[in-house]
Amino acid sequence: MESPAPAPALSFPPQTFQKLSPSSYLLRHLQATPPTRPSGRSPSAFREPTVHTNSLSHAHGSAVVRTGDTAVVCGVRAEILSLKYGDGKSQGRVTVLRSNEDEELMNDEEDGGEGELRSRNLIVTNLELGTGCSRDYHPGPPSDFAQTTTSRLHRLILSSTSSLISPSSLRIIHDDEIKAYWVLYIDVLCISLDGNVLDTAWASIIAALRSTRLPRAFWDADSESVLCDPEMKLGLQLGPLCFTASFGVVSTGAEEDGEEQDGSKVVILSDPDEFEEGVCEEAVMICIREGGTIARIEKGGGLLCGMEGLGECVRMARSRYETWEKAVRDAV
Amino acid sequence: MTDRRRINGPSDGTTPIVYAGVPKAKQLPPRAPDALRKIFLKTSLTPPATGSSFLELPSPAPAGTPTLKLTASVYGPRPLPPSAPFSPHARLTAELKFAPFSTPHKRRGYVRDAVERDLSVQLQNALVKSIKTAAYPKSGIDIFITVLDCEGGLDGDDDDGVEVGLMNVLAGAITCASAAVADAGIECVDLVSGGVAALVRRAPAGGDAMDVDLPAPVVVLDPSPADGGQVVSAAVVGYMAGRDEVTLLWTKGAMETADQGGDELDLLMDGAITTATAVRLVLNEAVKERLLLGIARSRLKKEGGGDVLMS
Repeated sequence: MESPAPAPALSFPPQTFQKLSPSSYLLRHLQATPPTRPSGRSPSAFREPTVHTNSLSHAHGSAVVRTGDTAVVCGVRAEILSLKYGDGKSQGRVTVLRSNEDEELMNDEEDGGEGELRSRNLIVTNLELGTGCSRDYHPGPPSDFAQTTTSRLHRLILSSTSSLISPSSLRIIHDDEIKAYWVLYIDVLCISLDGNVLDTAWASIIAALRSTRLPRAFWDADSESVLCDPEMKLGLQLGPLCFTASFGVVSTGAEEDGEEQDGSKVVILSDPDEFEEGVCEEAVMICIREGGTIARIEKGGGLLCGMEGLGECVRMARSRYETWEKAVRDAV
Repeated sequence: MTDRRRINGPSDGTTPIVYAGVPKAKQLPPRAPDALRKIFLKTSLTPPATGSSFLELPSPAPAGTPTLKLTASVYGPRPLPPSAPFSPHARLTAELKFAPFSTPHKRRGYVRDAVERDLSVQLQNALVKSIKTAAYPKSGIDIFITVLDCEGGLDGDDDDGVEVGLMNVLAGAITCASAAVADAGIECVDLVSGGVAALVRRAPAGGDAMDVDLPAPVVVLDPSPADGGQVVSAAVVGYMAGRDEVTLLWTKGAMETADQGGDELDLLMDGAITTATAVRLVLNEAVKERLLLGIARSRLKKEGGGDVLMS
């Protein structure tokens, strides 16, 4: 007969535990007092950013941003889109108008500008993850994640609330007629990926745009083309800054078997890393504009975070805005 | 053809900037033909990768002058997919990509082109002999190189001489990738460093460029495309200094061998190997730094760090 020997305590090295049961691993950390994340951060702690600008020689503006183990390089390069003969006249708003038409035109100008950026594809944003930045992404066509993140970044740039780039700084005008446009190619390469690439990529885009210097372009009537002055460089006219903050939401009671436990509480994880992003199903992204107004909220994946939680996120996103703003201002 | 999975620019395409007049190029400080530029090489800058490294040449660079910046990351050895045929050796793949903003004049697209394919294969050939592939059967080792910034000189060759830009990129990629492989802890027989040398004919001071009696070309170690002068021929080697073996040789331009009465090939080879040997010292330092850090970390781990109890 077997003697009822006490079952040996089942113990693993932390790495094994993490692989076997990622969600319990995260929850055990969060249930500890004080709650800590596997990375050693407290739930509300963001990773400190470092920003460097203009380290690339062939881009018109560039930035390297690092938060923790996530590092991206953003390069802005401008090329010229020449318009066909006469095409720019309608865009130039030069027609002399009777007084009552003036106001209408001004309104048109205000939101029509953004349409100009959109309809002519003057801003080209791309995020590349196939650089060996993580074991999950390979060179070649962009993965679904890269495509969705790219389109989120692109929407942020073009969104009317952020109105970051004014179309007027991209117009090349001669005799009140738009002859050509600058097209800004914004390429973000992820060098190292450890979660929350959106915030880091967005900050790198802002920093790179702020550091962008374009040569003064003018229309040369003799050659009927746009030429640039090699000596004179001009910065872009940028609208109010905005920065994003991402959060992962997880409940300490939500075990894998779905049992509700007493005393479960919702934990908001600021700036989630790769492991936490894999575990947290619910994600919140808040974009804060200069002055503290909310420019955009993206939330999905669950119902854990209610209005209260959202308010908390907004508060943290505001303080994150300050951090980013300072880091970018110091770098440019 | 447009790439529908990326955001593309205007459908009519855009043209690169045309300057009225020549933009003032920053003059590089003059360098003796055998003077090498300083290199910055650091490992483990991409923590999610098994091994990684970053290379910058020259470092520090004079303000406003182009530099070569590369990152390398290594994944593996990892199991090959079940669909792959049995292989008794590790399968090494190298992929070199230029960033869209890395090259002068025109933006590069994302789709891999022939130049990138060519450099990737050369890089793979240069490294595969240094890795003990027999130690990792049925596994794959992947090396990814991203060129963030390069010095130019990629336009191709013309009557005026050959361009050394691509050779510099390849030499840098070899060194950087070898550091990343060592950082990944993959068994190697030796480290590979890349070196470039060129035969350069410098315009005589104050002389006419069309002068009939041109000065004899001199061997320049670690030539830069921004240096100026007419590059007659150039060579890049991948060199394992510990075993005194050349894993890769690539030359451009006309040269003569000893039996034809010239010694250009020998001169170039010797020059490139001298450069590679000097680069190897930098590589050694970077790997040593990483090794000491690893030892310190493992000691720290042994002292602390208990198991997590699963309650």
